[in-house]
Amino acid sequence: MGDVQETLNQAIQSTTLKTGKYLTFTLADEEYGIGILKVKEIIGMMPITSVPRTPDFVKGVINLRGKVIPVIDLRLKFGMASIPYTDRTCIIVVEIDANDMTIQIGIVVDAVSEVLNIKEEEIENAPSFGTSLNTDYILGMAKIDKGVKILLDIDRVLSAKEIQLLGER
Amino acid sequence: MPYEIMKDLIEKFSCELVLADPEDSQNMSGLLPVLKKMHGECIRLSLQSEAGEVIRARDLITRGISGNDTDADQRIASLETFIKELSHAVTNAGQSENRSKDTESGAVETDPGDTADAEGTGAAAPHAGEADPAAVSREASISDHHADLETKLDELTLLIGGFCPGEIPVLGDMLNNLDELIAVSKHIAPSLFHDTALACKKYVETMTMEETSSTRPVEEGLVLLKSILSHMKRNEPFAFDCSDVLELLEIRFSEEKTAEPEQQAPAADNQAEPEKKAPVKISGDDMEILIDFVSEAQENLETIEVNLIDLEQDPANMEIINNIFRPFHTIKGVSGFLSLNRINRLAHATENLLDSARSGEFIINDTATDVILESVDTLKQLIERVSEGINTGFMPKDDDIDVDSLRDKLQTLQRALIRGDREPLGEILVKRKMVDQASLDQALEDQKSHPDRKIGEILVDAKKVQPGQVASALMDQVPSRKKPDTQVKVSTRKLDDLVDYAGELVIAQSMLKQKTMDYPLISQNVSQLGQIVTNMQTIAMSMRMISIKATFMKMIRLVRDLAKKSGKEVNLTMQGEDTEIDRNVVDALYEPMVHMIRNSVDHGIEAVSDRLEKGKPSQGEIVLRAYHKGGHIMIEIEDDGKGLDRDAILEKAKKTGLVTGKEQMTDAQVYDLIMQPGFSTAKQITDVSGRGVGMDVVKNGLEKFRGQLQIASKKGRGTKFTISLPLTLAIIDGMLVRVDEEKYVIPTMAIQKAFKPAREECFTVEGKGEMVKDRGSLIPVIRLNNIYKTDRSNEKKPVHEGLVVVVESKDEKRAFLIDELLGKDEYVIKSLGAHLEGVEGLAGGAILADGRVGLILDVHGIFGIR
Repeated sequence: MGDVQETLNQAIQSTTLKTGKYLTFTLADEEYGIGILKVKEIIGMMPITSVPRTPDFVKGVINLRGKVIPVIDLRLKFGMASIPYTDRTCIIVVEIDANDMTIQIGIVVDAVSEVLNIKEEEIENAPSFGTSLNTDYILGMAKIDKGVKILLDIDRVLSAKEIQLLGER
Repeated sequence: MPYEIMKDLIEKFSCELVLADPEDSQNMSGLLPVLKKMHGECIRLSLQSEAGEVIRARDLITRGISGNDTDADQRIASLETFIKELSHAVTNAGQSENRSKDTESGAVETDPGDTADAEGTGAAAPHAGEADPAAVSREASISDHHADLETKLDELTLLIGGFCPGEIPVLGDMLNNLDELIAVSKHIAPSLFHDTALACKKYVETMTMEETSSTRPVEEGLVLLKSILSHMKRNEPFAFDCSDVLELLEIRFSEEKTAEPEQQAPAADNQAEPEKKAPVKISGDDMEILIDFVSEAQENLETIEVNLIDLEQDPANMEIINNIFRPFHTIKGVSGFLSLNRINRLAHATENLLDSARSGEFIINDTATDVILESVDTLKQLIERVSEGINTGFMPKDDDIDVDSLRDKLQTLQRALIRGDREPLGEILVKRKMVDQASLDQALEDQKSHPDRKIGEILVDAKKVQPGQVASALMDQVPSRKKPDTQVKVSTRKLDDLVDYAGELVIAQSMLKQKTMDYPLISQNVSQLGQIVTNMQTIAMSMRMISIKATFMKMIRLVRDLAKKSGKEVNLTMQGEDTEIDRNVVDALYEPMVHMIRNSVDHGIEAVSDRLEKGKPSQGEIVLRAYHKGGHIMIEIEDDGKGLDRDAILEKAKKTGLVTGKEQMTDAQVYDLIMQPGFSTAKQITDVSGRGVGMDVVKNGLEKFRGQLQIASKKGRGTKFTISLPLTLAIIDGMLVRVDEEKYVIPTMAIQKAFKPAREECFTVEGKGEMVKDRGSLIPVIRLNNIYKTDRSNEKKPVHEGLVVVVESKDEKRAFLIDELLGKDEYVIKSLGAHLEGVEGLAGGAILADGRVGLILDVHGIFGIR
């Protein structure tokens, strides 16, 4: 029984802890990471149908093999300047949990870098900038080699509530 | 090998038990569904005591989850013992099953397992804190009794197993045996064992006197005794609904008029009625099972209804009876496991009735159908309560729903029904007008002198009918039922995905086709591919389609009930019931159809006396017709009643101020008036319809699903309602338009006309904006690029340089200014995803022919944008 307990505990820990594989990508010279389990696929840029009366960072919708999914420009979402899309620009299709269902959303990033194995000890909690800044959507900062990669909690970055709130404004 | 499944389940359970974390209730509750299945299996294999064990294990887990029992490891340990013993018992049972079945020694073989079982759990029980200390001290003497009882029971089993009808000595042995059982059990509490033994004895006595040869009741009693015994050995109360066994035993001697007071029945009722007075909280794991149960049961009840209707047409068809029997059986089994007593008991009583019908004791007649339907309705109510309970989280009270009187009814009926017979062949032939009554009588007369000849042969010999006709009549007598295809349950999500991919395939294929046009060799293959792709898409689409038959069947039930209530004779015939429509549309259809059928029966069809006066047959006809017509499904409801009264409608309309009475109106326009809110010409409000809400509700309901309603009627001859609905709600007819660089789809339904306005037809009205003039009226212009903020150039293009599309929604008109009409097509409506659901003015997205996404406009939503 004890062994079973141990195995179970380990299994639970591995899912809750931040250790794991991350897909990293660049956005305005910064490196970011998303948990690999959230990533559904990576596709090249394709024609996006813009949807009126939505916030700026909602680029519109695309046809992903017969499914209509919304696409969000992460640069605009993070308040960075928009740049013209290049052939390295990618759409990362992520699956996020919202209201008990999983939905697919595409996010536009400058370029996809690599998949990294990041250990718990390499991750530091997100720095607090005081109360005025919300850092909820940052899972932590990973120190790899010399650089720092920002690990994103993509569920929070793309919460439907936030997008709708902005839409009403 | 029937034990295979059980073994699998046991294995699964042990695996999950090992993996389960005793502290985590979520985890433990995962075990419950397996237990549920195990219980079902036990019942199926008639391993009563094991079934009891399973229930016990379930209680153990539930207690653990609710936190009343703190000792988690003990609990796991006893669960482990339980599963070990169970597996042991099942293996034994399985082996004995394999041996020759000359005696019922199988039961003896199981017993070592049982005993070990009792010991194992008995040891664990004190830790679980439920053993009665007094009982433990008495255990020594009682266990002697138990061993005694066990041997006696085994002997009795052997006797019954070897019993042949008419062997009085064997019956005597049985009686002796039972006497001993009764003597031993006299001092053992609970008295249930004693009572059951008494009941068994009484039954065997009747067997000697009456020469009844059926030993089934005694066998049932025996099984009951055994399971009570195994429960007693474990010092736990016997919690099953055993009333049916007692009833089975009792029915016989109540017929015999043994006027002794029957103390068994109340005993059984007490067992079965631990009604909880205070609402009981449903635990999370139970919830899951309950939800499963509710949806399963609702589905089951639907099939029962449909099959009952079938059965009415063909009461002797065993297959249909079986189809009705099975769902009741399932409901009974599962509700027993969930301790939903009322449901369990009612389902059980109904099942009993059907069981006798199934074994050919009688034929289900109209009364029986009525009672079964009543039982279905009550079960529905009860299940509705359960599902309410699921929502609130508390077990609802269902004391107010009366089950017992219905149960009595079912039982009396079961006793009262005697074996009927099939419709005679001769009658069928007469009905079909193949022979006349005179020649049939003649033939029947002949048959009396040659009793071994069949009526069909005589008739053929006498050259009254063709052999072929007799053959077809014979077919009618025992109609062959075509086997339905086996079906698979697939989640709608997978189906939707399939449709999506099929759609994509079509697009990809058409692109490939364009690119390979110049290469004849490849293009041949590509066009073949195209053929396959198109077929695949059709099939994918058709998977969402279901036949409308189920809905029609419900109408039959409705007409049946309504006709009975209003005392009219109505026959409902269906045509094209195999027509297929999208499953969403079926839901849209149901309500309006109910309304209209009610109207037809209540207002349309006249009372029998009126009909006869007018020279119509006493039985009214309602025809339900379904067919496809140009991408729409048409449903016609036609009756041969009194028809709509044009003058009455006009008069009423004048009274309510709908018309002035001076207008020239066509019949269709007059009939349309009845679809106005609050319009009803019925002189009195009946229970069925005529409350003044009706046709307008129907009309609105249909319009919501882009449907239409037409009325045709002839006074005195009947009325015909025609509903037309799009085949699927997922596809929309749309016009693709271009505004600047954007492409939009406007639903064709909303479009009135499109035209290029002349310069002098465009106006700007102070304070109201731009207008165009169309046939004398001014229509406000909406610039899509303006409200959608897609206008990049700063200068406004004058209206007369573009095209305007006049759209109408809810009697409002607007003109959309567009640049180009790109064509008309059918589009599959797709959601833009939860994030973009609420965007004003958009109904959804559609994949265009080039693979890009186009936006479908919500015309009415746009009107609201300022």
